[in-house]
Amino acid sequence: MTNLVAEANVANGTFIHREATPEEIEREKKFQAEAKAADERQALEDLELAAAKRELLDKLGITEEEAKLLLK
Amino acid sequence: MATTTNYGWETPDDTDLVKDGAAAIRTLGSAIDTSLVDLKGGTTGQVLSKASNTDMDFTWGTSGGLTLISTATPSAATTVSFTSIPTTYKMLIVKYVARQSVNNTYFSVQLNAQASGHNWVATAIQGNNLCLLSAVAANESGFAINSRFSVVPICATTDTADQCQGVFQIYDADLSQTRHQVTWKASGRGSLTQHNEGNGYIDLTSAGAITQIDFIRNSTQTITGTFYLYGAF
Repeated sequence: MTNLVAEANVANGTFIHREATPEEIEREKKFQAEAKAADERQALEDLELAAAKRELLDKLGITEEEAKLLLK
Repeated sequence: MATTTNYGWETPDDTDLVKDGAAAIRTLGSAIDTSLVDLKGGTTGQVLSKASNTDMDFTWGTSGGLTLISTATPSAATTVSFTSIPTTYKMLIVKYVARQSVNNTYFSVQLNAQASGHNWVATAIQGNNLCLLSAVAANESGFAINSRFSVVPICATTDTADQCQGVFQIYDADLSQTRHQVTWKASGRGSLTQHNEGNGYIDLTSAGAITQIDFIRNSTQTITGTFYLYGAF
């Protein structure tokens, strides 16, 4: 089975592993699309932050190690 | 007149006449019925407490502590679900310890199988340099759909010491309202260490109590571990 839902039905007091329903698979797909988009946004922000950091260090004319020493 | 040792219920003497047996049984039954009357009643999740120092004086009430409602033990599962949750408890708490089959993947939470309306803010401490991150998101299909802030964070695939562990709480879960507040705290260690904290709320499309909690994966990984669902008042 590829989509295995571990379901605890509280009212019935049962716990089973079962195949996901088509609706659950669709829900998961939507979820995963959002997750992928969020992580891509995050990666872009990381790149922008890294670029901004490099630019600042260049303007100051110091290395990252020197900047860390100055902040101590 | 003979009586029982502990409760003093009246029983027939050895010399009593057999023809009086029906009345004797009725007397004994009535005495037992009276003694146990306080045990009758109560509702799901309530506990029995002493109402006074008097023997057999009890009352039903809320425990004031946590009640273990259900336990899920997913094994290589792609989704973990608690369904048909009774609307008895003010607060629902899921505590979990688990491993995921792929390093640096995560699970997020969706309430009442609702595909939108999840709003959240979160902070995370991450990595060996104690990098502090924060995020705000609106109208998503779950809480913390982001590897940096996830409710079930990244973790080692085999090392039990580096499993993902955490707590997810829902307030006023019993109330039939459109907005439900949540908080979570989680830790895990994959390629880097991760400690996440978040708060949020869901706006349901119509008023209702929380009856379903789903943990949904962000990718193709599976999850193995134990999820405990507790209720509190």
